[in-house]
Amino acid sequence: MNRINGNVIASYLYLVFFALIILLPLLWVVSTSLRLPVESYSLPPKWLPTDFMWENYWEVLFSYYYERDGTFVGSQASANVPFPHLMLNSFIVCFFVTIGQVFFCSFAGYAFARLAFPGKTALFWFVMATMMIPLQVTIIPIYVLLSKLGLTDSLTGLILPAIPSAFGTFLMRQYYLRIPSALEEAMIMDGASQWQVFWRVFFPLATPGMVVLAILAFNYHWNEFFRPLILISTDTTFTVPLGIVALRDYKMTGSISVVLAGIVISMIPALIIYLFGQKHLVEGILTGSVKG
Amino acid sequence: MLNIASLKKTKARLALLFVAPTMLGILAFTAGPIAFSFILSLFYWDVLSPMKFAGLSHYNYLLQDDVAVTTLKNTIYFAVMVVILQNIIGFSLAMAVRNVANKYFRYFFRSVFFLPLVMSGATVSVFMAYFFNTDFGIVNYYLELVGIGSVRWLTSTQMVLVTTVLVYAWQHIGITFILFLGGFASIPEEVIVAADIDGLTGWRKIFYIYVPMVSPTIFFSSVIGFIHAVQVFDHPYILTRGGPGDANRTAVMYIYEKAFQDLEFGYGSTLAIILFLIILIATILQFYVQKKWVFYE
Amino acid sequence: MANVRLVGLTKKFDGNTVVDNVDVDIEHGEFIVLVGPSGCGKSTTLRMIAGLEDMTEGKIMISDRTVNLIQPKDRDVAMVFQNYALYPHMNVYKNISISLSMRGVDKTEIDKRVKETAAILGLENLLYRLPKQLSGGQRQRVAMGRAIVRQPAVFLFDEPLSNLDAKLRVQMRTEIKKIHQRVSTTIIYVTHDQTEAMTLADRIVVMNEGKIEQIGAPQDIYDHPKTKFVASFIGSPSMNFVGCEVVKKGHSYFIKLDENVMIPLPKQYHAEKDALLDRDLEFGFRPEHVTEPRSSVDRHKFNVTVDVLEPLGNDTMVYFTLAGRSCCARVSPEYAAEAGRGIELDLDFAKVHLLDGVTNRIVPAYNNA
Repeated sequence: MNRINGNVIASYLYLVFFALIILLPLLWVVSTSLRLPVESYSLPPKWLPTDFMWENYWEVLFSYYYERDGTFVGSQASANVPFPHLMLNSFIVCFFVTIGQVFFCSFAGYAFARLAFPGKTALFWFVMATMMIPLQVTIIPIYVLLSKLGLTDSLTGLILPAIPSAFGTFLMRQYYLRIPSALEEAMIMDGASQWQVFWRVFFPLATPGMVVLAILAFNYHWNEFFRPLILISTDTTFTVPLGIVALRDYKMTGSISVVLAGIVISMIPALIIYLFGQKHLVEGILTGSVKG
Repeated sequence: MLNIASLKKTKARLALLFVAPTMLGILAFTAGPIAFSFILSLFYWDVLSPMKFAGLSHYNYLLQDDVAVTTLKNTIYFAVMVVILQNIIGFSLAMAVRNVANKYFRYFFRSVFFLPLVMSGATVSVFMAYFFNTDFGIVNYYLELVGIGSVRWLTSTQMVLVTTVLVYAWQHIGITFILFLGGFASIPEEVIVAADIDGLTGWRKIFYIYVPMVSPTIFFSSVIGFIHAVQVFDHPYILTRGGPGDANRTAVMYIYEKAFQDLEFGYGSTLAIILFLIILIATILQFYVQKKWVFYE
Repeated sequence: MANVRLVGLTKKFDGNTVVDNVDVDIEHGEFIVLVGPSGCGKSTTLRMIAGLEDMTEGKIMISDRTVNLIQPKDRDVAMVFQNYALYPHMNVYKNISISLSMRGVDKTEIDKRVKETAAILGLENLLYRLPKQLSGGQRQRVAMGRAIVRQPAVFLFDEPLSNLDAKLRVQMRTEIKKIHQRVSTTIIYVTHDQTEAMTLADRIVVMNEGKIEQIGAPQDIYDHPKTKFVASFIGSPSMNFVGCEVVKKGHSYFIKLDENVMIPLPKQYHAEKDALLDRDLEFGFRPEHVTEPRSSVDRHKFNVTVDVLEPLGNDTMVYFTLAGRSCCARVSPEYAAEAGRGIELDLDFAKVHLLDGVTNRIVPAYNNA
């Protein structure tokens, strides 16, 4: 009995230790984002917020447009990044990529799961094979292609190549496979066309898969850094992660509170998704890791 | 016969319509580019002037390019360290969570370990760089406090890759943790009871029962972790831009620099193809070994 | 008139003949049950009628119209599926009405017909529930409602009760019968459960290995099975079969089961009695025709040792060995002895069958008064 209790206590201590390793840095990030810039590096570190400098947040969000006293300077730019622009850019990219992936992967996934067509197996293996090809390996030709199309340094250039998704197709196919085929026959008997079978029954019933796919796509592109770094060069076209790094580089070590304020803002959408969609996120990441 | 045949035809037509956009997209943005990468690797090209055939000279040059060799070494070294660290931590955390009876606590720990995964590698690296700062960093402050003394986490060539491993592992521990949770859950209860009856306890039980029983998970998480880790870019790039020297320069960073800073698209593609081959080998290994190496079924 | 004719219907699949030259004529308003063990081709036949599956050869006619090349939706048939196949994301009303709305029926008409259908099935209060909020029996009813609302020429039922528990199955059986009486549409119903077939059908089509074994009214099939398969498939517990030969002793003919058991040849076989001599035969009798001794002329009493007793409450099944074969008798509970004891049983002569051991067909009996 004693040994078991010992195990349990040791386990808890171990888990709490790692939980602190995860949580303390985040706590420090939040607390320090609310500190006077000059105190941001103060040692010993203060884990909890000491003061509440909401001005740091004001500076991240608006100093590109306004002087401290509220004078509008347009996009004349002080040493800062146009954060609201970047938030909007990131939202636009995430929104269209997510919607696009949900629809097109639903179509393709349904075809692979439920429709017979010549060359289906070969095409499916082709999709599976492309799933293992990392973006980092294909980025040079993608860049060349987009610059030929005149799509570099534009949000369209970020969105368009991200919509066709081998992984999303695979994920949606798995969900369509779970829907009993008797429903298709029932619809046929009820007088449905092939399109109606898809649109009125299979598509709505695959919503759980779409939620998983949407959460993953949104989260991935919200956080994405490599592709925007290569494709985007104008600061008003930046996405949020580019902006954070640019902000860090502007501020150097002078005023990390402001950078951290930016980080906190940038994490909000991801945290909202995390709070409401953790289950889907886990499921999606597991499917993702299982297949490349 | 005609009625099903015509049904089949409409089905095939709809299918074509449904797969066409995604297939074209994959052709244009994945399959085409990988083929084009290979072709580019046989040419000199700086975008501005016309392409010039290079044969295998890029591949030859790669063997003599110390930076390329260093970045590949760094990448493999990084990935191996990540895999070892993540397996140990993921395994032990999943073991520990099994001892937590309260389901809310379990959910809490799971949520916490999963939290960094939803963040951007870029932003994590930004604030982690503050943490590991040699002079002002919190990590060094506590190390000095306990008498170990300050470590040049990001400024010493010996430490910087380790630091990157730590930051990367911090962010990705949730995946291995979840994989091992699944692995443990699939161990038949009888096996554990039998081990108890045989009097196996503590470390012996872990090494004779748990480790072999989750060996498929260990293998799986290792290959997957490896494949993901060799693609690392955000963390070393943001932490130190690859420095000091080339100590933190990884393969993808070198591809990026060669192609997009030096405009050597041909050589950049050569590096990309090499990285692709490494990932391909790992994937094939996983595909074949996974089928054979299963201890329980 | 909604009659259905299957002419030489054949389905080959990967070289196997799943349905083999099936001919059935179904009258308007008839309740036909296709029954047989799994894999006998009954479901495939039904799916071919529905148009969900192609036929290899033959012809299907619905209302005197050949429908071979007609799409399922234009065949004027509705189908109730084994797992109901209710659309999980639509409420009961939508489930029932979708076939009408896809056919462009106008809204007020749809509403009227859905309400009528709901009234027939007692679903009025459940119209706005989702399938997952319904019990098994209610789902079953919605599935039927979906078929009824279309007012088709023919209903097809594919093992519709197999997912219900025993009690509900009996209840739904009665309900289906009531609905049939009410709408009097032609029904083709597939089941592997011979009790269901017996209780529901106007006529039963017994199928085995893709072929029709026998078509007939339930009682007729029960009383006069034509093949060993039908004899043993219909009726529960199934008919006992014991190898035998017909022998002549003096002027009398006997059925000889073994050295110890000789039974006088029943009257219905006397017309052809000489033709029965020296043939490879089997003697068949139903458990319910072997009882405790009763006083009647046409009966034969014999003694056996009880192997096992199975009390059912109203009756007790007695298992015994006769000429090396395990047989079963149905006796009244008061009469049942205990296992291992001898017991006297009494066989009803008029109801026994002789089976040709070579062709596996029942030897036709005459004089069945």
